[in-house]
Amino acid sequence: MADIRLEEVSHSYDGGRTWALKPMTWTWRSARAYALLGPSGCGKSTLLNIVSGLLSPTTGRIWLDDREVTAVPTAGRNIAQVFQFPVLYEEMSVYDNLAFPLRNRRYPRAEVDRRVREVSRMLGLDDHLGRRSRRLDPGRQQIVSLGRGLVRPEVAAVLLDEPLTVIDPAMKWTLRSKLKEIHRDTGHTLIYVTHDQTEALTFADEVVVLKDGEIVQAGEPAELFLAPAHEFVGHFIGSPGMNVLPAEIAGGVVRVGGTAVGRAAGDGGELPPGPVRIGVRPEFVRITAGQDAPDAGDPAGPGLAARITGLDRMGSHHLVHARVDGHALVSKTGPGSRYEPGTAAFLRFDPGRAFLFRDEVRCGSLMPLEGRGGT
Amino acid sequence: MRTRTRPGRRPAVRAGRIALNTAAAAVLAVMIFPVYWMFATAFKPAAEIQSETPSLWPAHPTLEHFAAAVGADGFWTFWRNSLAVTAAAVLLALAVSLLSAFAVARMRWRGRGPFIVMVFAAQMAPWEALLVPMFIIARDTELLDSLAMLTGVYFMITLPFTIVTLRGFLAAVPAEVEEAALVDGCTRLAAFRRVVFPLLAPGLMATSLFGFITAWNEFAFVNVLIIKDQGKRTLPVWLSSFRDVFGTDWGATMAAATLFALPVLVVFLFLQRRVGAGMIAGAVKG
Ligand SMILES: Nc1ncnc2c1ncn2[C@@H]1O[C@H](COP(=O)(O)OP(=O)(O)OP(=O)(O)O)[C@@H](O)[C@H]1O
Ligand SMILES: [Mg+2]
Repeated sequence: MADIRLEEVSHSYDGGRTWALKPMTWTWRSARAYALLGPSGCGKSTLLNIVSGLLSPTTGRIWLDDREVTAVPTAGRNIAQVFQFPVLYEEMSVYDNLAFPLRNRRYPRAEVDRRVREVSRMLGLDDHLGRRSRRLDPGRQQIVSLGRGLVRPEVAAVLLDEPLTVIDPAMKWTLRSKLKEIHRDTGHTLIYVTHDQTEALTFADEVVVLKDGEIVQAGEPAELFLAPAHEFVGHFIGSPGMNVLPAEIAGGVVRVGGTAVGRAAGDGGELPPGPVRIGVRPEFVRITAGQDAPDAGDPAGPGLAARITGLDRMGSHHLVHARVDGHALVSKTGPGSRYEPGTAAFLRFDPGRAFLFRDEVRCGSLMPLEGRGGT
Repeated sequence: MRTRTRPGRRPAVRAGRIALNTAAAAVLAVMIFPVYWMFATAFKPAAEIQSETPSLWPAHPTLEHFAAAVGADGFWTFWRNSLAVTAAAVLLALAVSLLSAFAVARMRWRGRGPFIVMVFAAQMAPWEALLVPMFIIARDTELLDSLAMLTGVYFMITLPFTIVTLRGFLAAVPAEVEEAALVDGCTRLAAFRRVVFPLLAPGLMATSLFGFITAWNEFAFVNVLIIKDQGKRTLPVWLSSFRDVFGTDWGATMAAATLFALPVLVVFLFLQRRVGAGMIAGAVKG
């Protein structure tokens, strides 16, 4: 077990014209479970292949603790990897498939047998050990591939590249909790690639969001949800994703179409005036129905005048669609709430839950006006 | 589910299948018949061969023609020559093409595109066009009447096809299989040998069979390249000269032809099951 440190690592498949991975410095800390989340083509597999050594990075260096492994081939890195689709040694039995990684590393026969049986019991493959692996159905084949990734007792990390894609949903849940269990028992570093946010959020200690070959945010699931550092994280995580509303900063006050909605608090000092975008999750948008501004004495101001345009009943909650200053906004409300499409309403954002973005990157947050007057 | 809802469908399907099978049987018969005739004639006594009303099978089968063929001057020498040249050419082609196919299918290098085009072009070119150049090369390098030259020529003839076919088979093996083997602790070479190579078996069978048939049956080049030294001839040439040796002893000629066809048949039957699958896989994926 070791920390895996990437130092200015980048990769280009076409000699530098486009970059599948932009220079990144990042450490995968030992024994943690990571989810690597991002849209298709953002460089997730590229990143994993660089860690495992199947690809050499175009620039940068890779360290396992104090040992530089940039030039060390895959076999010398002691990293296990499971691919998106089943990869089997078709000519071998299931048992031999599972034993293959151990035999290559010259584990004693008894140890091989013990490990293979342990993994097969964990993954429910006991009845299939003697079968030719190509005779299994695709789901089982993938479980065998998974088993090969988990069979080695001492690995620096186990890399899982969307390992459950071909597995049916019911089995997926079982396997995912198995994986968590295994992670708890073995303490392997796990890097789990997915583009399913639920999978990422339920599985990982830490979620790393990748976009266009860059890490846009990394943090605990709650952090990504409550405080997205990038508009993309806001959209990608949560359903529906974060609302984005164009606004203007002037004199430290954020206004939407002339209405002051709060104070601009920069993440790194005062924010210069000019356009910004407010990002706020539907969970933190409050609606008050009616023509008149509610509670005119509220120090936070009257709120944003809006028109309700639609209502989705989702069972556990409602999604209320509204238009503000020509922009669409969604609010998540309790299942009992009543809003009529076509009527007027006022919107407010929960304090500390609305953020300001410039060039898609978070630059500050929206704070209550604190009675400085709102018009 | 089919029987209840659409009762009219089954007979139609069956009729179609019968028609197809009949057609296949007819084609088979036309293709097989000359071969069968060769076999049958080889076993017929001379009188039966010459008789006014040809019989479909030998009434009194005899091995005398085989004895005559095998006993003929130099039969075993030619047989050995053929086998040696063919086997050497096929093995050489397999070894070289396996490496080239790997380079073409799996590695990126400058000139890969042009290389593939060249291989295809070489495969397109009619071999007969090379007869004269080859003769001149052999003459100038004093390689006329040499089995090594012949082996080289057969190697050259089979190589493009072998590369192209094996490349198809190799491309059909997902790169992940190799990557997985690397992750599981193999070196690049071991990954190829232990994981990829077994998957290529049908491809290797198909290409070696093709190479074997090509080299074994080849006539034009031997005829041009082996001119003086009779001891360096191969079976096809010997067979063509058979008429002169035996007059028109059709029985012995057919027996010799049967002996000539036998190795191909044996090799084919031996490899047949895997080759069938291989040809299909190669055709679809290659
Ligand atoms: N072998 C390759 N040659 C050229 N370009 C490649 C190659 N592999 C990936 N790319 C490109 O690099 C970028 C990143 O690809 P990568 O496979 O890492 O994405 P990913 O995040 O794993 O996507 P997915 O979720 O679809 O698996 C993509 O734009 C892709 O087209
Ligand atoms: Mg991928």
